[in-house]
Amino acid sequence: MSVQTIPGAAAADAPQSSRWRSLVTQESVSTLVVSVIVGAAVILPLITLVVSSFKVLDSGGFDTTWGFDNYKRLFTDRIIPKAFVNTLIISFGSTVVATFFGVSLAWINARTNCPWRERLEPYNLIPFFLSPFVGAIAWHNLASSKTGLLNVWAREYLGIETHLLNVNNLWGVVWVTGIFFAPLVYLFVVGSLRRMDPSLEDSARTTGAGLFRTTMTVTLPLVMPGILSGAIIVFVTAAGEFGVPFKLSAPYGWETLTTQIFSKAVGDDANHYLGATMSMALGAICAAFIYVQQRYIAPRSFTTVTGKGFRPNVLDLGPWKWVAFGYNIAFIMVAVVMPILCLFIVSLHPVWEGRIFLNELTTINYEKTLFWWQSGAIKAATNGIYNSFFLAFVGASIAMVLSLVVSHMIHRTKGFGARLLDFLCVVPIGFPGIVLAMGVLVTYIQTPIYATLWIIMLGYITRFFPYGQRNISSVMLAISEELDQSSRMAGASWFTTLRRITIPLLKPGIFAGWVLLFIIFLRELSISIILYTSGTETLSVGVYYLANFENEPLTCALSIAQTVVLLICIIVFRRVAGREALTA
Amino acid sequence: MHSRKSTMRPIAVVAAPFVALIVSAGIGLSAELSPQEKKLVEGAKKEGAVTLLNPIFSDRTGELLGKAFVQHYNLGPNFKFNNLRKGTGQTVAQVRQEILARKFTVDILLVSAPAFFDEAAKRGAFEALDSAYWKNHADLSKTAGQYSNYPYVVVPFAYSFQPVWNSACPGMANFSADNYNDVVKADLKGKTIASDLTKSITYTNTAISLAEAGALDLKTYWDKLKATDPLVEFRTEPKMQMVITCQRPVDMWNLSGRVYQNVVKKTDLAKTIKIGSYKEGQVMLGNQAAVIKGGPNPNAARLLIDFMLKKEGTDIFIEGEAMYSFMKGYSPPPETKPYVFDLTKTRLLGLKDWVGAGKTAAAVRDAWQAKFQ
Amino acid sequence: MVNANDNRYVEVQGLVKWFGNDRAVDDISFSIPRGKFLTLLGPSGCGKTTTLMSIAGLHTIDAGSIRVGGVVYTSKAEGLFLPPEKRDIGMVFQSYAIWPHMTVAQNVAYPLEIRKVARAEIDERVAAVLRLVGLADMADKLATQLSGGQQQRTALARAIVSKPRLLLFDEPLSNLDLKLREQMRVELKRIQHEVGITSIYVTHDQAEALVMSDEIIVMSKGRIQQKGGPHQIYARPVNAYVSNFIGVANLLKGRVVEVTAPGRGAVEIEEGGRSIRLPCRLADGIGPGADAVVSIRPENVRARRENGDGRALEGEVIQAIFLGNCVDCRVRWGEYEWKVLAHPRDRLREGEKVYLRLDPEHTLAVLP
Repeated sequence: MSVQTIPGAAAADAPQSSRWRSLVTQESVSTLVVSVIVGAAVILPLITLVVSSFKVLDSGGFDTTWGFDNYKRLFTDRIIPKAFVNTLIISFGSTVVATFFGVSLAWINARTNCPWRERLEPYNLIPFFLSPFVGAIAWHNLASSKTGLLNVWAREYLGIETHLLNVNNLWGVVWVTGIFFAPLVYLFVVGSLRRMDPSLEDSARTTGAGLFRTTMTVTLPLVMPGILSGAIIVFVTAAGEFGVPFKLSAPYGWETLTTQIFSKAVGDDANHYLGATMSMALGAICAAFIYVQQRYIAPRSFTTVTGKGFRPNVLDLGPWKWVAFGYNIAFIMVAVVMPILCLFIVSLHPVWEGRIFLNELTTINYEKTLFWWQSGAIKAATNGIYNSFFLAFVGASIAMVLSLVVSHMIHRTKGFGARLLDFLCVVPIGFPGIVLAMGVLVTYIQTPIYATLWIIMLGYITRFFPYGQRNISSVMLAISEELDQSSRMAGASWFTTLRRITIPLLKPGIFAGWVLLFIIFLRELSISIILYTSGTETLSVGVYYLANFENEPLTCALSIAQTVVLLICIIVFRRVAGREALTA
Repeated sequence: MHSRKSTMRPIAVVAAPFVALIVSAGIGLSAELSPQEKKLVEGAKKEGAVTLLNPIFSDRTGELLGKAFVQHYNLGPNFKFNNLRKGTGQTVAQVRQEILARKFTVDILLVSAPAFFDEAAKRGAFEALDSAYWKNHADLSKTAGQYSNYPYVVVPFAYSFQPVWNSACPGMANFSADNYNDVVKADLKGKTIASDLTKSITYTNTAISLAEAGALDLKTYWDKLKATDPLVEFRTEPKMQMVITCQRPVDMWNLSGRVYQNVVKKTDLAKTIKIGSYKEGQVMLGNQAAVIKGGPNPNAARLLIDFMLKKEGTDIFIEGEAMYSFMKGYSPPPETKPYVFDLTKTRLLGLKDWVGAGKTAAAVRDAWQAKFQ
Repeated sequence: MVNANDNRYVEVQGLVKWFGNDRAVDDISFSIPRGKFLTLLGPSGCGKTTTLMSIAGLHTIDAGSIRVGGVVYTSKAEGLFLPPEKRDIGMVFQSYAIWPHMTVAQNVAYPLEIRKVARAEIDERVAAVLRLVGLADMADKLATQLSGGQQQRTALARAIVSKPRLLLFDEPLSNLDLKLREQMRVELKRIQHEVGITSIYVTHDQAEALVMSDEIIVMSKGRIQQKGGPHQIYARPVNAYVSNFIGVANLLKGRVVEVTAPGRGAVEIEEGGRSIRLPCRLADGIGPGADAVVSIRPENVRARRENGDGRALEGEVIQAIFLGNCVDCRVRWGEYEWKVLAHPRDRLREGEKVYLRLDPEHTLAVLP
């Protein structure tokens, strides 16, 4: 029982107090820098948009005066109010479609004994990772009234007179957008269903409630916040979707706010001030919805998230399980396999006339879009590959670093700054890409980053880093603050703690966020299309360029290339991050 | 006795042919380049690059043009020729933005947009050109009613919307069109395309020009077109695709260049895709070109304008895009001849006031929109 | 090496901490001699954890100062603040905070690595401290493979391995089950005594405080109610709050009517219209005529079936719960319900009439 003395404690290694005022700690400097960066990146473009919306262009096209005319035009223009209505129709419609598929597939996957449901799950998610614009191109070639493959076959083999399907209208947009965003709802719901404490349902069953009643009165209400969150996200994302209506409905007379903003920004009647005004309207609607979702719905997540693995009740469907299986397979066929096959078929023809000519198949379209060393290659396409990869790698990395520091600030510091930052992080989600891109363009046109890849990267990071931040935050919330604190108490500086404790523990969230951002950047269209110039085309811009200036087969060839790359990313992601990694 | 004069004479006699040879060779070299061009070549070499923003030149044309340009002026293997292709609206919007921001990444703007060029020229946004070759184009372009504004704005070429159809489609075997009524006949119901005036200045100007020349009564004409239940689209390539796939076998307004390019891709199409011209008149849509003041490569830009106004340059993009040049006595290359009409044998239309057309454009567009959207 | 400072090794003066409009710590001052074990005891919200966190440096303070071993940790008046990582403190958190991505040995080695101790020495010291806490054979296990008690010990090992000048404990046993808690109380105390590091322990469990501490500070609403050794706190609470918090007490309001000797007197209780005079001890600060509360522990109330000298309080047994070694009774006396611990052999039954006698030695008048 010796009393261990602390040798020389009072003398040699006595810690020295430092001035209270010198708040220049590692922590405070980093947080200040990050706040400034995030604030500038998010707020500046929005301020520019707001200011621009009050400038009215004169007939000469160069000078502006201040006024409310742009806002008046929102109501008096021939097309804009219709475009607004169309946007609403598309948003509601896609939400319904996406929710239907998302909830049904989630329920089948998490709660029934559908055979091979673990194997099927990754395929259910694929549409989310592909480019909806490419999806629209595929569906156009599948189901446009005269030349769609399905219609041609229906005419030939089923004797149908005109056409079976017509995807070139608002319903086509609803369909394609709905399928592509169904995985969003799926992810929200399947996570809720899986993590639900079975005793909640069991206690209902023990009072005599049958399966159906339990599902209606216990399961569904508990999952409702998840469903609503997913639905709202789909609604907002669909409202901001540009590529699908641009391909499928705008050319046939149904414009949307996004296609109108695009043509006002860079069309013949270019008037980006009017475009800014429309962006304000669209952005305000989306932001309102996101606010509701964040404030009222997301916090009401009733399911308990614990480390203990619950085994939720699995329903035995009996022979109906094959029906469920068939339904899931059908979804995958329709949403993934058919469109990709169609793109592939079209891409192998020199010119597409609506019919398959086996003797004419050629790979020349791939050579023209991918083989950058060949002289006949189309620069806009081959540039796209390199640029997109660069943007994706570097952009995702920068965005994750930013997300890490921001998440740390939000969850580990208290006070007004943290709450402000949290708010700033949600804002970009509410504004469609094309809106943000306009703001970025006008704000930064006079800076050296204009007309380089860096302005596009700035647009990407600003718009999408909340996704990365959300991934990290969800993991960070699960990590007790005391783990960081105990490192400080053990003597480690703020930075060492970050390096040795926080980051290693956040690894799953960091990686998941990085891959998600990588995929999103690789397929991005709305921002790139506003900010690109010769030499800085991205993959999607390349596809757009080919669709605009070249023909369908070339467009499909590059689309297939993009799809293949994205599919590879998904496989890598699943392999490394595991099953739960995707649940938002 | 030999005087010095007598000694000189044999030397002079022997030397004369060599001197003549040298002198004539020298004249031969510089006969290719005008004095203005010569002044620009050194500067262009130093600048090392040029960026041409336009909606017309395909990758192939751009590459050929670039190679020929570099070779013609011997600009060296490291010279970068950037053909930046964007849609009509996008090109104008980008240059306008850059002018307003005083931040320039583009050297030459080449697009059909007279109103914009006029306004920008008034604001002093363009360099004053000194070209030895513009005079070859000036007369015919004026006769054809085109907008130019030398020394700021020139017109290197024009395109024109012509009727295009696919004779291989059902019911099209005996079809042909050489006037505006042919393309709105009742039996063409479900087979036509209406080009979207609201999305393009060029369609709008074509309509205004036809109305101005008394060639068409727009009001009744739109009704006739509407009666054929047309599909509305504005980009020429997708419309071309529709013709090729028989989705819509008749397009009243498409470009010789599009037909030509598709035939190059699939030679069979030469037999089935046909193109004509309108008796009432072909509206020539001249593409203006100007050098932007403050652009990164002013010397190379002026040199490129000269190149495009010369036969060597004109040959390249006329072959690539099957368009029309106002150069005196110019004859198009044989590959494109079947797709273009003879400028001397066709009624060429333009506008009296390309700039002011902007004001009537809104009314014309609204009228069209009321019918079709 | 004992020097004059060692009596006030930890010195907290005038500590104030606001959270919004709430004064979580309201002017607290105390000191701890070197090597001693002090417990901050109180219900949640009393300010004990905030005080601990302020000493740790994880919270900043709004007024006052904290000195440890002569070094100023923080002083609002002088504008000084030493960041937590420089304070040389070992801390055990409520959730243990064992890093899941490291093994036990790596967790424990961490503070030494930060201090850039040589690898060989780290291994030696880690092994020694793991032996001390009884985890010698768990060195290579990952944190997720440990039970609650084992994580506890790992946290303790990590806290003491760098021989800090101060140990802080934030309710470390509250997540363990009862048996383990009782066991760990004793273990912790033993280890602390062996290494001799000055310790501050925060808990709401008064049994823990009584078992482990050299000294206890009872806190309520940000203020110190009483500071003293376990015996003193238990037997001589200064006010009704402390009485009630530590152990169980019968509390009756009254007034001091007589002071017979220093610390002795009598208090008059009003009950159901009658006055009763109870001779008792007087706590500090109680003078004649002062309002007071009489505190009597249940084990100091004798319940008999006979009245004896007639001065006993007459009441009715309304509850008698057999606990094995005693009977927990409630006796109604007028409006008041007495808590009485009776001996099983008395066989008190519900409904019986009993007479309660109090011992003036164990009847204490305290501040209200």
